[in-house]
Amino acid sequence: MSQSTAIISKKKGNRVFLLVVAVFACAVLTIFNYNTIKVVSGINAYISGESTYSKNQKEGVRHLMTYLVYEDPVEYELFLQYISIPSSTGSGLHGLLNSSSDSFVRESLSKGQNPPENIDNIIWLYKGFRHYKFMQNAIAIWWQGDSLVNQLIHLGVDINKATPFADSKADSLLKRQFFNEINTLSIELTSKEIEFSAVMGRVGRKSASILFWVNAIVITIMLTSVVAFSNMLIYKLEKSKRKLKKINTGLVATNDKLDNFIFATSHDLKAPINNLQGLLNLLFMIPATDPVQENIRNKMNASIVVLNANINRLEQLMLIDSKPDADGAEIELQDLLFQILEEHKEFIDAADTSVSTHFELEKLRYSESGIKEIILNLLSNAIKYKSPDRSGEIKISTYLKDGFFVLRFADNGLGMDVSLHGDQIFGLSKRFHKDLSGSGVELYLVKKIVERNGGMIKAQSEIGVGTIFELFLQKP
Amino acid sequence: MKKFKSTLIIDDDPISCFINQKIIERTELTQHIAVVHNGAEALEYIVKDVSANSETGNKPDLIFLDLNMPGMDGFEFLQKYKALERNYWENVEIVVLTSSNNQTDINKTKGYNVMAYLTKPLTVESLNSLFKQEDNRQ
Repeated sequence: MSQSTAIISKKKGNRVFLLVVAVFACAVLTIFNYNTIKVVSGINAYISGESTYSKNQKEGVRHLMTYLVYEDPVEYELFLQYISIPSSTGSGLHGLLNSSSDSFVRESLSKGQNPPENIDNIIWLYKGFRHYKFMQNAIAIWWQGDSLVNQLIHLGVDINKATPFADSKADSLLKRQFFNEINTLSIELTSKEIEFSAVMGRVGRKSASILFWVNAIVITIMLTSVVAFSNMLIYKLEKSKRKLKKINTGLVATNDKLDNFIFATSHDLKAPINNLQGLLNLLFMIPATDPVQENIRNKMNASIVVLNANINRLEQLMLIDSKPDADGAEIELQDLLFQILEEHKEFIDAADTSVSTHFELEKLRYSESGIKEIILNLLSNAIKYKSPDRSGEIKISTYLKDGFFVLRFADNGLGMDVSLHGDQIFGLSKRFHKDLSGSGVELYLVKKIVERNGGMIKAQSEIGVGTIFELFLQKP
Repeated sequence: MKKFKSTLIIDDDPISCFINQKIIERTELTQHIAVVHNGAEALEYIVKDVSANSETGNKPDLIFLDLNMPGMDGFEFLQKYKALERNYWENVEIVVLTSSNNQTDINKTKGYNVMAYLTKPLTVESLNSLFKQEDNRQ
């Protein structure tokens, strides 16, 4: 493995590591927060259960004392009813400690007036944390409380057995003793209940504190990873941007060099060819001494004409730009066409071709050089593919179609199978034929000029009938 | 066909100068032909060698100008020539004669009262056609 590959691989490894850390931190935070919420809900359920436990126990004590004073059996019944609530909660606790069935535990806790959602939390917290010190402390206090409740129930039973009390000194002393016992048990129970609440409260506060710190630490880890990961991505993006910019600058420079090279080469090629042509023209002014000499001069002339035309076209192709033309102007099409036809009169007459026009739209805002190139190339193309069997007819018209200014160019030339060649008719042939008729440069140039100015070109053609080009130049 | 008193050919290529000279002689367009090889030489010829105010001097009234030349090229010449005093360029016809038919080059010569833009090689036909047209216009 090369050094650069090793560095790339290491950087990629760092990115993956940071991403894994961020995802892992997210997962840890989610699980931790879920469990913390469950713990806090469990603690709340225990505290709420204790509150119900305590209220009913105190109410039971009150009715037992009233029963001792007034000996009304209704008060005893009420005592039994109220004390059964903390007693049932106590049974639930026994069930938990002795691993009794969930249904027994739920039934007992339900009788102890614990709401169903609290019961779930009570069971979950006990099962999950029974081996933790805070839970063992709380259970021990609860256990002691239950033992006191049982003593209270036994005391109630004893009082009920001793009722009615006689108006004797002995019974009076017994009653006082019962009072004292109820009082002692009640004080002890209150103390246990306060102790239980304190233990659970401490656990709740500690949970909240742990929750805060764990969240703070994990979020810091997560943010650090994400920021580091983002920085790596930004750095990578900026590096790519710099690299692209460098490549682009290089390309622009190469392109400029290429343009200069093409310009210099075409000038260097054209100058001697033009001179050759000029010298040959001078030679033509001297009468030929024999027919062979004249034949050779004619062939030389024909070769130079072709060579010159090929170089001109090559230059046009190399310099064709993809940017829209900047020389937009209002053009009188009839005037422009007249000018072009005048300039190329000899060429068109020699090709036995006539040009007619029908302009529904006479003015066009377009690049003058662009539209001139288009018309010239289409004329050249039509003449090149003229049918040898008939005089050439070119019909040029303009109209509005689909919101576009359309320039239509129809000829009665050889025609071609558009379905067979498709868009290839606008393609550039792979070589310049010695015979220009095969070069296909004209249509390529026309398409380029139309497209770079935001238009499009369509062709219809029939073999032996002719070809129609519709140039959708622009929306007026 | 319009006749000129003195013609100046500005071209760095000696063969091209030879052809141009022969063709111009053939058309009998002018009484006198001078040849220089770049813009700087042309300006020197116009300003120093020929007394612009002299009736007897060969002040050119027709110039054939190539564009791509070493040293001062045709574009720079046009700029500096037009910056001279009026009597140097008044009533002087300029024909750009170059191997480039680049539209950008053509556009760059606009604004300097260039009479025509011809591509090399110069032919008797193109000269006849140009000055016949000029006669018709006049």
